[in-house]
Amino acid sequence: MVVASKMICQICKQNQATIHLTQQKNDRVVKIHVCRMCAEEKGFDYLEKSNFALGNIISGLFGDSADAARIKKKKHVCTLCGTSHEDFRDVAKLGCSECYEFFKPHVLSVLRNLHVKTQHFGKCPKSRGERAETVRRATLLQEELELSIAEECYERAAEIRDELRELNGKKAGGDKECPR
Amino acid sequence: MSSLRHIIETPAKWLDGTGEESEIILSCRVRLARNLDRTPFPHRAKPAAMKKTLASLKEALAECPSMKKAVAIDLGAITPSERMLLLERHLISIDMTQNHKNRALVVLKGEGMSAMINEEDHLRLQSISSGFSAAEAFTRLDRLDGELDDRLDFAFSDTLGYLTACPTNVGTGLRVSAMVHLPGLVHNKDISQVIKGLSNVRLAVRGMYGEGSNAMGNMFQISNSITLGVSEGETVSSLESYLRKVLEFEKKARETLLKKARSLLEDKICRAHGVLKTARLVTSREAMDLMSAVRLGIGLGIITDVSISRLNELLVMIKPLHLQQLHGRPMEPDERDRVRADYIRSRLGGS
Ligand SMILES: [Zn+2]
Ligand SMILES: [Zn+2]
Repeated sequence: MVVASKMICQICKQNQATIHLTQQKNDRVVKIHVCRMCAEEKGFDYLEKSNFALGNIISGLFGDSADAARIKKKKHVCTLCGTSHEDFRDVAKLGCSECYEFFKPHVLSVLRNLHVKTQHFGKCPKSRGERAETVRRATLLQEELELSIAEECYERAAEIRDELRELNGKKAGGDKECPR
Repeated sequence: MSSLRHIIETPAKWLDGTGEESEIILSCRVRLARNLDRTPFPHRAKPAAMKKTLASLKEALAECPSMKKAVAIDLGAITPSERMLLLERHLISIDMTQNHKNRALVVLKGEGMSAMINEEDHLRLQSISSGFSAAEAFTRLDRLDGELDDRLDFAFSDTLGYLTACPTNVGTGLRVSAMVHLPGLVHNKDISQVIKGLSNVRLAVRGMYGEGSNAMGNMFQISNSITLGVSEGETVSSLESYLRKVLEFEKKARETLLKKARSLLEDKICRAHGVLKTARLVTSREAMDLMSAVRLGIGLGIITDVSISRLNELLVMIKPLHLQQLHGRPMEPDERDRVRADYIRSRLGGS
């Protein structure tokens, strides 16, 4: 298996594949080799344990080649400013506000390293104030919910769930009010 | 460029030494990074887009009540020496002395508040004030940010906050820093402990001029390094509370030094003052170190005929481009050391 070290990522077909996954699919074993960036973008890190999700990813991977080419073109360059994974990796800078959505998984791991937390906790533009506050509260409640479930405080968990439901309704409503 | 001339010839307000504890804490500086929504950041933008951004940001700034008396300087329209002068006054970044096309500085007279346009981010807002004054500098800058918010669509995410070119600034986009003079802690070598302690609470310390404990003139800059997950208020008050501790440590170090070796210390301080008043050749490094001794002398009440504001002003005026400005033409390093010594003597009433 000398070749393995020089394997190219099957998604972007550019970077060296450093993550090698094996999946049992029906009666054959499928191996996928991807680079770290694509793995993070596709959520491998997060989904590794879930066979179901991995199956989806694999079928996406081995779908028609036109689709793969489109993924390569469309998925790897920010549509607004043209920044690619490689640009981001090389200069450690984002190219525009859209890049943050585009490279989200990578950005989040970089931010976690730099700042520990990944939820803004400060001033908001006036036009976004209420909505941003709702999102922040939802994040905090979600964390608390997971904790209460882990600690088996189901009564509290139910309360939080209700509160979250209400907040999420507000979030959806806020979208309509907010012109952006 | 008379507006530029005017800026260069008037000392900045933050150098006047009027702030609290201004012998040890020279100044506090606050910076906010802001970008326009759905507009490529300067390093990804095409010249035409940068030009457009420049025009709209200049216009927005001109409309802000806080910047009513500001002047706008197109960095492409001034000479390389003039750009270096602005750098020496902490008004633009090193990067902007090289990449100046479609970039501008908008600055208030007195230099208390300024904005760099098309630096790493579309907007870098800055506010500097004398002494222990981070909260005050922030309040002023926050007001300007609010005025701009009424006129511009900032790049902002509900989860990540203000979006910036570099992920290190995401969230509040806020960098609060203090320029501090710590000869006591450098002398008793506690400075490395202090630097380590501050980095444990995510505050960065670097020499203002030169690195680490070899900082020229015992000047350091302390600043926050986290911008995501903490509010602006917490960032400012946390820096201020650690700054208070550093202040306390520095004062204790000085007390001990005075108790242990008063005569030696007085001798060192008065000799430094004497050299500055009489020397014919002074390098920048030597001047910085001697001025630190005189500054300490003022703090300890040993020197009474020099003001903090005079020393602050010298700190800026003895830099290469400011000296060249005084002299009227470029100089060789030897000649510069002579002009520097002449200027210091004239400002300290020497012979
Ligand atoms: Zn890849
Ligand atoms: Zn982009």
